[in-house]
Amino acid sequence: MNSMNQKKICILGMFGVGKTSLVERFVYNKFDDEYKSTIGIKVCQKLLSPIETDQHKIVQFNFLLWDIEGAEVITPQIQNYMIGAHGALIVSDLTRPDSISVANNIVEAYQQTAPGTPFVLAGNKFDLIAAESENIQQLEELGETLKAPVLLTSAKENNNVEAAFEKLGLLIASS
Amino acid sequence: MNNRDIPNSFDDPFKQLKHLLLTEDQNRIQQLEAEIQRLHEQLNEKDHLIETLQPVIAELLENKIRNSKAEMAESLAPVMSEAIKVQIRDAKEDMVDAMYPIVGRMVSKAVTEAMKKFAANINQQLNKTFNFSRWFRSLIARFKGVSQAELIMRDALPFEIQRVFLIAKNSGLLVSYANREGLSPENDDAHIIGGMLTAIKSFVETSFSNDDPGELREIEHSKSTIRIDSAIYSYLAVVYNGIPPEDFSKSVRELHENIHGRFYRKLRDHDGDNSHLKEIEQPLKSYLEVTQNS
Ligand SMILES: Nc1nc2c(ncn2[C@@H]2O[C@H](COP(=O)(O)OP(=O)(O)O)[C@@H](O)[C@H]2O)c(=O)[nH]1
Ligand SMILES: [Mg+2]
Repeated sequence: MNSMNQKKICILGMFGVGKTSLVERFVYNKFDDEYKSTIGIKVCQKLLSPIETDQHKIVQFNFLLWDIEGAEVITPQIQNYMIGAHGALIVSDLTRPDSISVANNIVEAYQQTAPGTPFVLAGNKFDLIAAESENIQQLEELGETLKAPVLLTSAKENNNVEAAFEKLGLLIASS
Repeated sequence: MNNRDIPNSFDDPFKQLKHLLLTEDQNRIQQLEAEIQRLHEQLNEKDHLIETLQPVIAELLENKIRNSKAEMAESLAPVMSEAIKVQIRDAKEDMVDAMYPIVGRMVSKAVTEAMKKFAANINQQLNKTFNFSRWFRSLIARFKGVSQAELIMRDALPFEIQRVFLIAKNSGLLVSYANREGLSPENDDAHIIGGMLTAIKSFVETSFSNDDPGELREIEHSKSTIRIDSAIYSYLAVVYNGIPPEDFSKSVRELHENIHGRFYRKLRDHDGDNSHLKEIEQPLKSYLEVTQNS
């Protein structure tokens, strides 16, 4: 067994925002909408590139990505899936403002369940939206309030996907 | 008759003599006639007869059975079987009561028989594998702290452990892992399986625990079963095929207790770094080897 650090990462967000697409892009570098989860959750893994910490230490993470469906309603089940997480990618769909307010609720539940662990806000489907969109502004404001980094991603066009996970890795390494 | 005859009979001296000589006998004959009549009635009237014979019939049968058993059996058998049929039909419960001790004995005998065969099977294994193999086994058994019987059991039963996972309870991250040699060499999916197991466990426990916080203990799919043993900071998942020996649950429990007892602090503080938990691999591997077919 390899000795790198394993980290549990929750991928959370409203239905259809592109959680599964982001994971598939990151892990398998592919994009399609064939995949359908049967039990509302899928675990994948991805070995990150080594990261240099603030203390100039090199660490390497093996991310165990929990692609969790149905988090728009925070049930005890959803909250149990978050237990023990080291970080979260909270995804919203830049074309749907409602998915951004849902992201806010999800962050609240996540911070309750895995307190003190970092999370990154991903505004996905960036390819579908103009750079000066109000929705981007709304998400960036949310990021400021929550003191969380915001990354505008496109699973489809492979934009910022790796960067979002690497950012999360950096935050975990220095937390 | 007498009254009518006597006056006339005096006419005949021979008759007179006869009367004098035979009166006593005639009275006795009359008495006998009455007695015969009574017996006759007793024999012909069913109720009387039964009353008379009752005291002796049991004795009679007993004698008869003792002296000519086969004969009796032959003639009674058809009657008996018919009687039993009727009795079973009409008085099932009484019959059950009556048969119960016998059937119980029969069943226990069958079980004893099966156990004997099983024991014989084990003994055969013992004899077959005597000399080097047996000596080697007892050595392994002593070395690994399992009984030799346990080692022999595994040969007698079709049972095989495929993989053993030790998973940190909180994060669901894999802490340690062992698989059977010869099984697919990519232990790479072990982390994913560990995560999925945790997800499924959490799903089942949240969905089906009404007020009772029970824990998922077993997952079964086609030939494979996953036995899950939970402790405070970890759970142990054992994937096996076939029928586990009787003390399998206990052995899983003991293995896990042993590991948890030694490493619980590290398990509690587990943060995804397994490098300081490498020691756990050895007991997992040994456990797997013990149950592995030679
Ligand atoms: N244009 C575009 N479509 C996307 C992107 N990511 C996901 N989708 C589409 O959005 C839909 C929902 O994606 P999915 O990953 O299943 O969302 P999930 O429910 O959050 O897992 C699918 O039809 C995807 O093809 C993206 O970055 N750009
Ligand atoms: Mg999905």
